[in-house]
Amino acid sequence: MKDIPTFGGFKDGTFDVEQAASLKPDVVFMNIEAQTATEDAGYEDKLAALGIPIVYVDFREDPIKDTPASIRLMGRLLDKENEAERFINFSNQQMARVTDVIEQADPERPRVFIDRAGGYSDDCCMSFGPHNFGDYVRIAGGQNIADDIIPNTFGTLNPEQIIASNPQQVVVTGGDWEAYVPGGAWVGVGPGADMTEARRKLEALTHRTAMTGIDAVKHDRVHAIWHQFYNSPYYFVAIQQLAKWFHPDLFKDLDPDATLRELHERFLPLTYQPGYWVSLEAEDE
Amino acid sequence: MNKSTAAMTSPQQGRTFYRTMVLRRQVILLGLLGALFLSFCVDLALGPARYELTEVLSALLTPGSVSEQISVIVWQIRMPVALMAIVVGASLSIAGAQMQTILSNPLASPFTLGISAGAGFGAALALAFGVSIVPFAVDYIVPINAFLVAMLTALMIHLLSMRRGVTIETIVLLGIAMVFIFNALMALIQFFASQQALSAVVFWTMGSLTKATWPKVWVSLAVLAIAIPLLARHGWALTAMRLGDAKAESMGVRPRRLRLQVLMLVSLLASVSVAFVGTIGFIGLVGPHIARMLVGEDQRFFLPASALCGALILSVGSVISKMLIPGTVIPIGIITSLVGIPFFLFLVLNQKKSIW
Amino acid sequence: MVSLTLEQVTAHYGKREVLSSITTPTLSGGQVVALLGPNAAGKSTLFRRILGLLTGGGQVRIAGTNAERPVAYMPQETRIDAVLSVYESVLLARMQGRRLKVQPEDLAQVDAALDELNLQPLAQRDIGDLSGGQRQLVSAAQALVQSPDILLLDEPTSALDLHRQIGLLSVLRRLAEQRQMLIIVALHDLGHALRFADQAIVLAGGALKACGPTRAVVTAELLREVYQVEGRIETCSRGSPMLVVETAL
Repeated sequence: MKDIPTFGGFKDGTFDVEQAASLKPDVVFMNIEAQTATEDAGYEDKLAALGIPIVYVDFREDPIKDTPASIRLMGRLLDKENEAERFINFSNQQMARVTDVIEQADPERPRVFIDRAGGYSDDCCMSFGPHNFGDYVRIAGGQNIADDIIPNTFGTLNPEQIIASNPQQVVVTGGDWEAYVPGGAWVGVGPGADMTEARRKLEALTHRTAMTGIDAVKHDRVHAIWHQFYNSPYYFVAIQQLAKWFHPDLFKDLDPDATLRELHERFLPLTYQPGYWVSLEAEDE
Repeated sequence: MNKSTAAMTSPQQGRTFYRTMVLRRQVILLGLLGALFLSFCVDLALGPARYELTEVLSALLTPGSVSEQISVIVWQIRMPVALMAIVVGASLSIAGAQMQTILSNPLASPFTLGISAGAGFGAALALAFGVSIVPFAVDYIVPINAFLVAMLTALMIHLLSMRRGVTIETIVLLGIAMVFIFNALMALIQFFASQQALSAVVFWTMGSLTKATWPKVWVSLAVLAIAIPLLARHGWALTAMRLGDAKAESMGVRPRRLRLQVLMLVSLLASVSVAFVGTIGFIGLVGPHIARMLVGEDQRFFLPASALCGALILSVGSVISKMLIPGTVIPIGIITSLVGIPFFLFLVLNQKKSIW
Repeated sequence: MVSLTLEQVTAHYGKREVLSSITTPTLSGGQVVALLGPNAAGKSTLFRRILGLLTGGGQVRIAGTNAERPVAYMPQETRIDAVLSVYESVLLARMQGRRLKVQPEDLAQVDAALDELNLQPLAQRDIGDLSGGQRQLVSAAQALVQSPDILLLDEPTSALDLHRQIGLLSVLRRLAEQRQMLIIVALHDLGHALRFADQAIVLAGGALKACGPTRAVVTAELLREVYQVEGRIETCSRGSPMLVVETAL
């Protein structure tokens, strides 16, 4: 993995076309959001002149809809169609473990506040609209309080709105942002995270003004989950964990940790390291 | 001097006119103050948590008698934002008014001189890379960075303008050069920043009052409370500056010294505001222009009118930004520009007299 | 009575000497002194030196006054676009160095200055809307309202029509006598100098060329040497001196 070269400035589509060409790839994968910028810059034509096609994939704009197609496409191009299909099947099975139950039981949906990158800056509070993590929450049987407020995927909630909506569950997305905000209030969940520290910082976030007196804090229904699930084909693991948090009785037997471990063992060259989520209610159990 | 002129006027005339004018201006100032108070009340009363007016009132008057949530919403969320709107609006508008005065330039504002741009760059350094200029006070790294870079910018303009033969036009040019430098540096930061940091930087540069907290309100208020009397003390001299350096000098004003003192003072005002709430454009430019149309440039009226106009614009902006899409936060910088600029153009185009 | 004496007064812009050792006899209150000389002779510089706006060698001695700021100065006219009425702009000159609060006495002084120059009809107008000549009169009122003992005016008549030129100079003449002020006026019109000034100081190239009673100073020789014109001073039928200029040399 260390030998994989990295590029700068990917998100604007302004990656170094010369470097890309010099590596003589057979194909260039780009995120779909970089399509406009890439086309503007004429990179498609430039790379096409070298016989290098660009393929756009998406795990972020609409992960649930686009991930299977993206995986399938990559599998075909990399001549790993079987693995791709196996992964998609695995993903579908794991999703079904949540969707089937929710559909059948049709439980009361708890109000959920997704605290996007909570603690990253002292602004409060970034969140998700009806898409991405908004989708995950809905599928997992929750009701995102920002669904009707934030028109698009990303947005910012008035802190007062959070108190007014009185969420029963709070999901903070977190990650190791030491390089960006050293010593910040973010919750550093992710592979191999220090869980004691993550839990301490999660607890600290509940003391923000916007969390005053809400049910989630009263009943310790405050959780943190790896932020990068928002941009990952492994989103189904996040959905399983959300479902388990929202409806602990319905999903007693569901073990997202095992799902993620199995995912690693079957599909990834990496060893599984836990630490992708933490909850304040863990100690009560 | 011409005794034979038929239109010999009574010696009372000037005084009478002057007294009427002063009275009219006092009424205008009172009107602005009333409007500001009204806007402040609306700002406190409205919010996504739809409380009754009576509930808000009892939260204000007898905080012990209401539920913790109302009390927190009114005192910790709405109140700091509503106050911050007033303090920051007044600070930026005063800063703009005095920059226009000392530089004799209608386009001068904290933006023109690169002070806001400097603050933005400092904040972006902190937001994108966690680069702190001072090693302590991690909690306040963003505002401290913003403040330091803004003051460094002002200091640099100050030092350059002390050189021989530097005119006020040169100072304005220096400021514009600063703006371009910081904009380029900012673009560079955005290029290298992570996705997460990028949205934080963009949100910051749009300016938002939701960053307001009580400590920030107190600090900004303290700076404003120090700056206003210092500027008022130079009231007559500052008004004289508008007659040109030669005239001001002939009246005993030291234009260069006064210019530098005021430049540092308003840089402080502007950079503290920008550091706390991000770059809220347009107030520092338009607040003083509206004030000038209303009360002229006698600092005894121009200074308070600028402060009130700026505070009023931002306070109304705060109300609108809350109401537009209830529950979410539209950066107030966008609102003030979208609502304020058409209003400003309307005023300018309907102005019978030419201003500048 | 106020008096002004210049002793070896010099001034520099950078390394360039712009005034070289100007010495005058004591000029005392009650008279109008014309400051003469071609363009760039150093007239404005000398004014700024007397005011203390410029530093330099030598002594500017002012005696016989206990005013805090005994000297008022009317600089050459520049365009002004401030949103201030004529009344305010004169009040402003009066209030410099004073408290923010305006006293009735201040208003009385402003009205007096406006009356003196017959500016009351313009009191409500914005200074930005005035003609060059009107601005010049307002400028004179701004100097006058400071109730100075010594009044320095830099080409106060340059934008005025003939009627107002004579009007302003007559007012200055009267003020000098009534208030025992020392009034120094930089003038280009030697005819006006001959008619209204008791004394004349002539500068050229930053040096003093002549100083004394106007009639004695303004001569055909001076015209030739300092102004480089061929001309003569004649006496008109009513006995006043009259300047006749023939050609530029």
